[in-house]
Amino acid sequence: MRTALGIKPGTRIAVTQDGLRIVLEPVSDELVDKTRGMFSGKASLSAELRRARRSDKDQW
Amino acid sequence: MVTYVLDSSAILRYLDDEAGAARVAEIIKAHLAGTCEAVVCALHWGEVAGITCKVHGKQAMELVLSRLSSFGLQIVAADADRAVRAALIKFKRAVPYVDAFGVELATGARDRVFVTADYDFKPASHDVKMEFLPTK
Repeated sequence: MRTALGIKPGTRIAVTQDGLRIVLEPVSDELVDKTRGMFSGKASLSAELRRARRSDKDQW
Repeated sequence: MVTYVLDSSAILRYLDDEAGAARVAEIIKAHLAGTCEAVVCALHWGEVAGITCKVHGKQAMELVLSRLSSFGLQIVAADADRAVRAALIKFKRAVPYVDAFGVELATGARDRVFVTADYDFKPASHDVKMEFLPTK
């Protein structure tokens, strides 16, 4: 299993919850790519940040 | 070694796969490979959490934070000294206070680069080395 998943001594492991399951994934370039765009096609987080920044201008 | 300070706008672009996401992914991969360091100011970390929770809910927020944590990004706390330095940056450059914390984190060392998608930071580019993510 370690070989198949490319897990070597020192490999970081990402732990996430999926419903009632605990998912362990080796941290790799593939996981970075999988995380990129995890909300792609849904409501934009960047747009919400811009909205929040506009309405939250601190004036002091 | 170069240290990249990722702000909330850069991280959210990465999660949305919007312009600049590939560059942020490249920085994270380099950080994992040990060829650079990637750090995030605690205030921006909180902003990523809050925006994600507001738009996609608490479960999505927990997934995001846990995934980004697994990449080993260093979250730098805001202490009293940082808070004062950030306040001075805010006054001098007229950037929002939360953003000033990010700029503060990138000051003081030549090999630190502040990575952002927010062009409101432009006035602070006199103080720190900045990498602006593309707009499109």
